[in-house]
Amino acid sequence: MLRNLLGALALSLALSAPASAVVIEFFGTFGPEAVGATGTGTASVTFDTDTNILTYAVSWSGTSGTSTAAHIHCCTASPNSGNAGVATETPSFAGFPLTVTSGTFNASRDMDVAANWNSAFITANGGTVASALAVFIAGMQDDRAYFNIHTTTFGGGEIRARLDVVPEPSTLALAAFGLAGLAAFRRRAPR
Amino acid sequence: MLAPRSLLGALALSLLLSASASAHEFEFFALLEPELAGATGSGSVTITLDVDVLTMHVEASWTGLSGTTTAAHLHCCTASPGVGDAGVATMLPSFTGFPLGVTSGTYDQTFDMNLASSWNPAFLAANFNNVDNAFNTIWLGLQNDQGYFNIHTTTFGGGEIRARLALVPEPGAFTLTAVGLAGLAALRRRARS
Repeated sequence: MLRNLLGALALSLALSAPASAVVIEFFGTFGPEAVGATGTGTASVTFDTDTNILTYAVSWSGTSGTSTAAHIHCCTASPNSGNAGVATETPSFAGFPLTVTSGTFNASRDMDVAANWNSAFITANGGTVASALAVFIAGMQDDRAYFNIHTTTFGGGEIRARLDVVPEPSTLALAAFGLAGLAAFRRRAPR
Repeated sequence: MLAPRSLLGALALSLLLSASASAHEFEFFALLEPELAGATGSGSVTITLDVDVLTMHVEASWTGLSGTTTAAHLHCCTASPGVGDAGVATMLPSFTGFPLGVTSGTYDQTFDMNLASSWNPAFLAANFNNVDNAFNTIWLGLQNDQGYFNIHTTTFGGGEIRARLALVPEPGAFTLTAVGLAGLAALRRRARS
C-alpha cells in the first residue's frame, strides 16, 4: 500500500513536471516565400520562463540580396501564414550580420528590457514589457511568429523561418521515466 | 584629452548613422504635374511603404485640374526611370475613398497590401499572384523612379497630372546626421576653448 502510494506520488510528480517547464524551445527552417527569393537556413529561439531571456541561434546562406535587417515578426492573423509587424528590437537585431548573403547570429536578450522590443509592439500589446511578452510567447506557441531576414532584393523579407514549438526532450524523458515506473509497479503487483 | 573626445564623437556619429541605415519605412514623394499639353493642375503625393507589415500609406493633395477627377492609381513600373507609361499596380477602379468628380481635393489612406483587393488583379497576376512579390515589385520600382501616381480626369482620361515618385532620404537619417554634426561641432568648440 505504502509502496503503491509512493509510486503514484513519484509518477504524478514526474508527469506534472513538464507542465512547469523552464525553457520553451522554438525552431524553424528558413525558406523563401516570394517567387524569385532564394536562401536557406535555420532559426532556433529558446525562451527561459524563469528569467524571461530569449536566446537566438540563427544561420542562413544563399540570399539573392544582402541582409538589411532581421527581426521576429508577431503575431499573424492565422498560424503559419501571412505577415505581421515586428515584435523585436528595431531597426534590426543589434549584432545581426548586415550587407551579407550568409551568416550566423547567436545572442541572448532579456525581454524584461524595453530596448529589446519594438516599441510599437509594446504599445499595441498592453503597453508594458510584461503584457508584450505574454502576447509574444502565446503567439510563438501558436505558430503565428516568424524570424524574417530582409534583403536588398526583397525588402519585405527574403527568407522566413516560421517558428514552431520543439517538444521538450525533458518532457519525453520524464514521460518515459513515468512509464518505466508504472511497468515496474505492475511487475511487482502480482506478488 | 582631445583624442578620446574626438573618438567618442566619431563613435557616436557612426552609431547614429548606422542606426538609420535599416529603418523599415520607405517614403516616396513627388509633385503632381501635367505631362500633356493643355492639362492643368498641381499638387503633391507622398507614398510610404512599410516593408515590415506590407502597408502603403497614400497622402495626396491637388488643385486646378481642367476636368474633374475620375480615378487615381499608382502605376508601376515604367521601362525607364522617370519617363513613360506603365500599367496600374493598385486597386481598381480607383483608390477607395479617393474624391471623384472634383477639380481639387486631399486624400489620406493606408492600405494593407497583404490583401489581394489592394491590387490591380492584372498586376497581381503578373507577380505570381503573390502579394509579397507584388509589394516587392513596387518597392523596387519606386526606388528606381519607375512608378507614378496618376490622377485621371474627364478631360484627360489617360491622366491629367502625375507625380513621378522618388525616394525621400529618411528624415531619421537627416536628423541623426544633423545631431551627429552638431555633436562634432560642439566637440571642436570645446577642444579650442
